[in-house]
Amino acid sequence: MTSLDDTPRAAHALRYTLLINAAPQSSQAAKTALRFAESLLQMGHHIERLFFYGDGVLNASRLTVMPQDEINIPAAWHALIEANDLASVVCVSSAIRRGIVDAAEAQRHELSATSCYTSSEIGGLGQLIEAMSNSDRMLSFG
Amino acid sequence: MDNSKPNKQTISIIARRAPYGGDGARQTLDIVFAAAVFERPLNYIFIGDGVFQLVAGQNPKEISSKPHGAALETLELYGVDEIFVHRDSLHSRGLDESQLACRVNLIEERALKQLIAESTYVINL
Repeated sequence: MTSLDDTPRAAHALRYTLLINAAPQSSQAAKTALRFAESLLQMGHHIERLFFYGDGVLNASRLTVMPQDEINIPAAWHALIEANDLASVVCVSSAIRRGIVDAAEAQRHELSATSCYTSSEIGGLGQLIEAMSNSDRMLSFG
Repeated sequence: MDNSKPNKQTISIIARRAPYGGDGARQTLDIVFAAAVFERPLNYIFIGDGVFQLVAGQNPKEISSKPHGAALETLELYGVDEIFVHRDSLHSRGLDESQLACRVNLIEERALKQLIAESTYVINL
């Protein structure tokens, strides 16, 4: 990632909801979303909620391994969410189809492992609509 | 909720993918249902290949998929009645209104642009 040190502060802070609909490995969209989120925080804006949907739920996989010279996008999201105490939701119906499960879902579906970073919660689309209603801006990626 | 926001936040949800071959169509529909449950004013807009989602009598069983049109027929029960179809997209694909699974409003390009411009939020997957 390039330095964001010279990013200007926003004159008026806005609330943003980001809808991430792309897998981390298949297109640039997830990387763009990550950098956009970093820039928003750097500029002093507020992120109301990250919502991972469709193939975007793979951004919450803690089982992703990348070659050493490539960025691990799920790990970078996890670090950003933890460092800034962000609200992050992974859509349940998208997630369980793709093997993204937390402890509760693993138990519910009798699976032997979990794969979702604990920094994101598994939830429903209502949380997207709710977050959007409380935001000045909603942007979708992918 | 923040009271400084306008009460009538209109969401425009744009369907522009064909019903099968990818999951964009279903993802878009699921967002429509979620928004409807929250009783948000919404416009469900079909453009480009998205108009194929509306065709009546779909039978995708042979490609191991669930029919998309069947779910669209239930939209009215959810109070989703603002369904807009871009007229040129429909006609340029050899379709007309009589072949669709639900009642829609045909809309011209200029009105479509205005509808989107006046929306508080736009979701375009």
